[in-house]
Amino acid sequence: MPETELAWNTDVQLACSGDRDAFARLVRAMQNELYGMARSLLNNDNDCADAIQEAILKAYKGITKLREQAYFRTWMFRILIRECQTIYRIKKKVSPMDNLPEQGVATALPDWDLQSAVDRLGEPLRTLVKLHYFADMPLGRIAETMEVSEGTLKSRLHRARRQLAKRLNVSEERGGIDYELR
Amino acid sequence: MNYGEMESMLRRKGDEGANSPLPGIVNDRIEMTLNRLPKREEMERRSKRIRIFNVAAASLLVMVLAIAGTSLFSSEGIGAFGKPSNSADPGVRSSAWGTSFVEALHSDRSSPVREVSVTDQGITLTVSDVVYDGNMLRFRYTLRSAEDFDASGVKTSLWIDGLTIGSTDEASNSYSTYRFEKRKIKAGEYEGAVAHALTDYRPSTFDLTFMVKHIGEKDGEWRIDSRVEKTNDIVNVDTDIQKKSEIGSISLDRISLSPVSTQLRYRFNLEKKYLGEHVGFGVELSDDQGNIYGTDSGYYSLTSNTVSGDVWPSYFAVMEGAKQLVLKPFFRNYLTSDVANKQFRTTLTSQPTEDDPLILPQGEAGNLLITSIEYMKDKTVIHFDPEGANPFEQSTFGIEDEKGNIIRAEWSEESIINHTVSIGPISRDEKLMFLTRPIAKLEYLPELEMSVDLPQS
Repeated sequence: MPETELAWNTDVQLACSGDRDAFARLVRAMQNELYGMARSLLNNDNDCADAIQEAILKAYKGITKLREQAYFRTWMFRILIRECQTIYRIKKKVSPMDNLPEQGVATALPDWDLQSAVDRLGEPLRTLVKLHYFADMPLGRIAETMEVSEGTLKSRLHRARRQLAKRLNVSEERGGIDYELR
Repeated sequence: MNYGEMESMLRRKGDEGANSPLPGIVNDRIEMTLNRLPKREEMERRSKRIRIFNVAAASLLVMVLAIAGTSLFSSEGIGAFGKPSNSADPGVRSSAWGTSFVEALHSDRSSPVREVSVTDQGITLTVSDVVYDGNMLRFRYTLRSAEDFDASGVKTSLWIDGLTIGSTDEASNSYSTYRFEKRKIKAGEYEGAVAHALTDYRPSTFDLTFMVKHIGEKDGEWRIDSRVEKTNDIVNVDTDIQKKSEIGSISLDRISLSPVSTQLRYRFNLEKKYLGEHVGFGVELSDDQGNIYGTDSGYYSLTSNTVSGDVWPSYFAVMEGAKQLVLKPFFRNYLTSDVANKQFRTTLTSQPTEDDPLILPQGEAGNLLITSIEYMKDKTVIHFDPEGANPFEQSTFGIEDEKGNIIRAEWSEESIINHTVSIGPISRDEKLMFLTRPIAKLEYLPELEMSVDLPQS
């Protein structure tokens, strides 16, 4: 077993037994991945920070009940995804008086259309598209994290792409629907 | 576009973010969170409570207070309600309690930190009148020099127990999670206040570090280190008021008053069907004099058929003269993001008066009226009056000059409560631009309204 893996597993064990420092080491080791996932699901860094903070707090609160220690990483991502989805839902119904005045962010139109089209997808399609494309997660890992089969995910992704195509006025050229999934 | 191009766009968007470094704001938050994790045994002592969702509130002021009121790991905040209070006799009203921000800081004498100074570059920074009530931290500071000096573009940082709370930079209009206020008193002297609502980490004592790195044209290091203790100047008013209607029920357990904040503890249970599209629920706190101390940010449950909570939101400190507090429960009618992100710009074309105010639109909540502007030698004072269905959150706006530059206003609790705010001195001819945004209206629930008599000294 590589030293780093041994250290990781030891820390997971310690964290599960309530060791605060070990838990902190695990989170620090994952922080870039956590951010990458949050950034793919949310639209700004403040929201990412909120989601990650909530995920850390919830994970810390629940880690002593984690039964499968080998799945700590997956479990952590699962919590983060839920937090991101919650924040996303809340932000769709935002309270109005954020800091005034706010500078708009100029975004190229095609990308904005794409982002907008993805944002208008319903759940669970939206999260799936964001994780698969924006966070570059393979379907196998998403399946593990979201606790659904790969077959179900492929079917959902297929549906998502059809909806996106409709919203983006994509022409019905061959090869699109059956595009190989990573 | 065809499917292949769409697929490429999706993957390209992923690639753009793939190598993004961890931003400082996220890194700081992770570190702050990890460093403030409670010990396991502390967590286990805490009573279970329903987790509710807190929607970010209007202005930074409101947001800071709202977050402070609903934090999950607020051990000291929870503890203060859960155990016998060590604060002052509930029947005795503090000399500082009920006064405005700076005056409260002046008159509170419960803190061990009276005055600490440091001098660099010929300028002396003095921190004094530190008050911490287990929730809000506030202190006063002065900048003094033998000669007049430029104190624009001040950069500050704040630490608690070595943990970075944040920083402010007046030059770039960058303000962190704490409030930084400043005003010129006379040549060579400025004063101001710093306020921060502690959220996750609320120890009874902590080491405070306040640092100024830049003043006007001068770089330097003005660093103040002090030990801060929770004030004893807190008055707890225990109640068992309950209100019920077909919508649901609400009960008020306690009001805690300190020189720097007012906290409620209330529980509610509502039938979700009555919320309908409104979604949010909260309580506005006001007094018999008509002063409004805030609205908590709104709570709702995503899953159950009932919406319930056990919450202790924080509001502004109660003003002098208040004899009774009034709690007005409401449904918050959240705006969708496309509406909320709109801005209204209104140009000042003639001098407003009470009879002929400048009307700033604020969407469904109503309007903000600019009723007069006083042009003085050292400042400009703007008087306003919210007119609509969410007067507290309506009581703020942005200002730009003719060139579109942001003019920084000296917002404070006083200015929001008293509907008066100052900016720097400007010409009467300046074509100010006022910026407002759509504000969500509140639908008050009079059948659940409560009032509580305050102890008088």
